[in-house]
Amino acid sequence: VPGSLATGDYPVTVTGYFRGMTLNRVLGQFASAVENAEQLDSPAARVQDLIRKALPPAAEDVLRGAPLGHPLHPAMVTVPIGAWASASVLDLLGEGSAARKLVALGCLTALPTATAGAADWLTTTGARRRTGLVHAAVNDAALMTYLLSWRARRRGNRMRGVLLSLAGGGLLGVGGWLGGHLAYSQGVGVDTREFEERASADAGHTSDGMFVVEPSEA
Amino acid sequence: VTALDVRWVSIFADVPAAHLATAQAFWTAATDTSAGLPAGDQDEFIPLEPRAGDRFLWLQRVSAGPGGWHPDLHVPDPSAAAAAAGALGAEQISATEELVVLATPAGQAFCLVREDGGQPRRRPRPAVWDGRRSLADQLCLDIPAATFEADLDFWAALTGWPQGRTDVPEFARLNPPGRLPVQFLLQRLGPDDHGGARAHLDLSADNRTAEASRHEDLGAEVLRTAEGWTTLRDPAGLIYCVTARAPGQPPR
Repeated sequence: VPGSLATGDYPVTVTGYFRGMTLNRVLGQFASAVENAEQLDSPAARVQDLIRKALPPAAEDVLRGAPLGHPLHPAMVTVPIGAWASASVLDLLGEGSAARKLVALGCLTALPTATAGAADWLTTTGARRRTGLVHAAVNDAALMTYLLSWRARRRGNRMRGVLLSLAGGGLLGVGGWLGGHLAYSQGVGVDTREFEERASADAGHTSDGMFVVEPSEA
Repeated sequence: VTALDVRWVSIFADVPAAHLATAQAFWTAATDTSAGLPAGDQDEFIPLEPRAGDRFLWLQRVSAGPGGWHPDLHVPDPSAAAAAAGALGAEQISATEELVVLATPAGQAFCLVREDGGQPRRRPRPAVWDGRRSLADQLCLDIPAATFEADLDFWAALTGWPQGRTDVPEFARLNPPGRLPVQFLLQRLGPDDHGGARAHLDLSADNRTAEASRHEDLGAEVLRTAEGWTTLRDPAGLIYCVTARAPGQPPR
């Protein structure tokens, strides 16, 4: 099989257009295209400027998760994603009215979630800022699609609403993948110094390289 | 020339004697450190002890000049390291068994200091102010345009650290191994800058604006606000920057 284990890469293969390419490689090319898209730098700088003007510093800290000590945005995304995913399950079960309410819940909670993400994004530059901008744009497109889905459902066009929700879910998958790339590959929101050993047992160094043993408590 | 085995980096603020007490009060408060016991023949070195992790930031009393910043590279054999630096174009200024003082091709002072084996040191952790974090974690080498490439090549060859990515061509970045407490940023000075080669400390902060205001409250003066950083002058006259980078974020 072309592009399978024989390439020595990864065992996941995608057939069709990407025959011979691993899914991993396709995603890697997508990520590097986004990371290197320097034409995004000037719009990104303008958007950051607008957000900085709009967000009071205190709000920025809360949105970034300062009181929690962890980023807030990755926790908040579970609410709109959960609501929208559940809406599609309810569509399957024929619970159209409940599904519509969950689509609305997802749209409402997506707004503070996006704002929290914007606060995280303010600390980024370069490749991370480009990735963050595309992540936000794709997820905003997902939000618009779910808003259209809600409107269609509201007007009684249920099938259109169901299909728009599925399209929104597809966009959300792309946006979410970029969010994963930001955190797990680019390290946004990660403090590597948290991984430093808290304290060596009972010994340390002086600045001039001398080895000292501190008195033990025993 | 083989690259040095750099085991730790210290950063020194060279402070005129008259301003030493002012600098000590400011920098301990700004970086959430405490002043340790002075070291050196004339007690001229004051370590700033972090709450967690090992010290790397020092104040050094100097008798002449306006002061500034310089790095010390900790290596197993300073004399051999100085020979390597000399082969790459550095000028030796003074030398003992334990410490060699040199200048880069562009004229930036730096030292090579002996570091024996033993347990590795730990990088300091970010200070936390109402949930906002800040951390002294970068030395910016400000290099005149004419000698920029020479010094970039010098530092890259001497340390063997790979070059990282930067957003603008005026800057270059060397990414030291993750165990070291500071990364090196190299800035190409503009053609109108006749100040010579120098260096300055950079802090990273979650909230750059709030961090700069905190420093103003401690007596620093904001000189310039750029897109990604704020340039300040401490009460002792030293220039440094607060940059909009998340503390502890992996370099790129």
